Amino acid sequence: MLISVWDTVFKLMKKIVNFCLTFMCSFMFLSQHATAQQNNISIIPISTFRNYNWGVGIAYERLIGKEGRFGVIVPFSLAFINDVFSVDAGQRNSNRFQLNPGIRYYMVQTNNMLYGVGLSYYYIRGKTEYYGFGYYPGQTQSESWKYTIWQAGPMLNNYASFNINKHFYVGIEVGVGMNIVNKGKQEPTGEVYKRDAEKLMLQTNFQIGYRF
Amino acid sequence: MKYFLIMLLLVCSTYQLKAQEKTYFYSNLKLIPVATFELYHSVYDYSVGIAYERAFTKDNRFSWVLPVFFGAKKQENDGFVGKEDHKNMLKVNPGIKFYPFGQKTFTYGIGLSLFYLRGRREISMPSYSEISRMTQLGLMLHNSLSCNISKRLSLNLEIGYGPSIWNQFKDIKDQNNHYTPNILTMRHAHFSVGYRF
Repeated sequence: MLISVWDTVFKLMKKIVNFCLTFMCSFMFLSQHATAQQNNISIIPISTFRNYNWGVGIAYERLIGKEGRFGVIVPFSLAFINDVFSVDAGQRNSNRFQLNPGIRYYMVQTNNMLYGVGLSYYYIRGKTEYYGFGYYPGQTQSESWKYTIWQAGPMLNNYASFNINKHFYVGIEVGVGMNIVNKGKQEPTGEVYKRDAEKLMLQTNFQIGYRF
Repeated sequence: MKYFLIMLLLVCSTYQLKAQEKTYFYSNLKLIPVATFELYHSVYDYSVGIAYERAFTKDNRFSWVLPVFFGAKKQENDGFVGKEDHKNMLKVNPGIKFYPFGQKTFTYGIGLSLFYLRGRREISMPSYSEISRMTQLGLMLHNSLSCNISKRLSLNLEIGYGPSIWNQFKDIKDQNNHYTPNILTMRHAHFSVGYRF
């Protein structure tokens, strides 16, 4: 009699435990689903631009879809440019900012790495000043001209990232773009002109990121 | 039963062998017979060096690396009559390296490092001569491909670039006469042969 009671109790316990386990599993699954790592924030300690020296920046990316194959990325970076100086004349540059929002498609997704291609549209803006002698014949005193320069165009990106652990990763990106908009504005007069220089845009960046 | 035991032993031993093959030693001493790096304004310098690398995680994915390079370059410019010598260039480049795929026969590594460069620049022209000490300090990013030929030997190719944040040229005779250019670029490539122990 006692044994049979124990038996039923044991069976009931087993059922309860099983139910609890399945419930917990489903809950864990759900929670995993809810906290799928769809966002990532990265800092860019080293980036290079064509004609500019180097830059630093930050980027935010959000993955779209269940498989996480598409991402929308918004990087912002600051490029540091050298001043140019010769005996007679020089050029003072302010730092330029670059905004490069775009989409990415991840073709390869493994445990260790991700590889993706992306299309983005960049926008660069900064100020420059020319000063000194020798800009036109008969210049008797030192003069200066200030310009605001902006460039924009589409860019094709190649991106690879390597996972350090579940949350952290390092990535590198190489992008080639074309300056469709390449204009300057003379400061006091406000006259906008089209620039001929710098038709091609190249950028590379290195990023350390956190997924959450 | 006997045969089964023998088979089991064989299987075990092969597994052990496989496991042994996969582990590499943590320390790696590299000889760098060929290295190029950028000196002031795109003057590339051929140099030699030595590097020590030590993995600090068990899976061999992270390591510290400390390369040291020595170089000298004599340059005769077309632009002006005279010559420009770079002597006793010493570059120290400590950093951290990450191998995303671990150590395999063929593997890729990405690294971040600091560099410090010190040397002597001598410019001699018919009417002008200058001896100055150059110092550069900056940040660099490295991409490397390495081929582990055996458990001990490896061949590596590495490319690095980054900003040279602090630069200075100081006249040796006149300490107050110095010139500090803005941020320059440092580029770097080398080939190395490594020995693990």
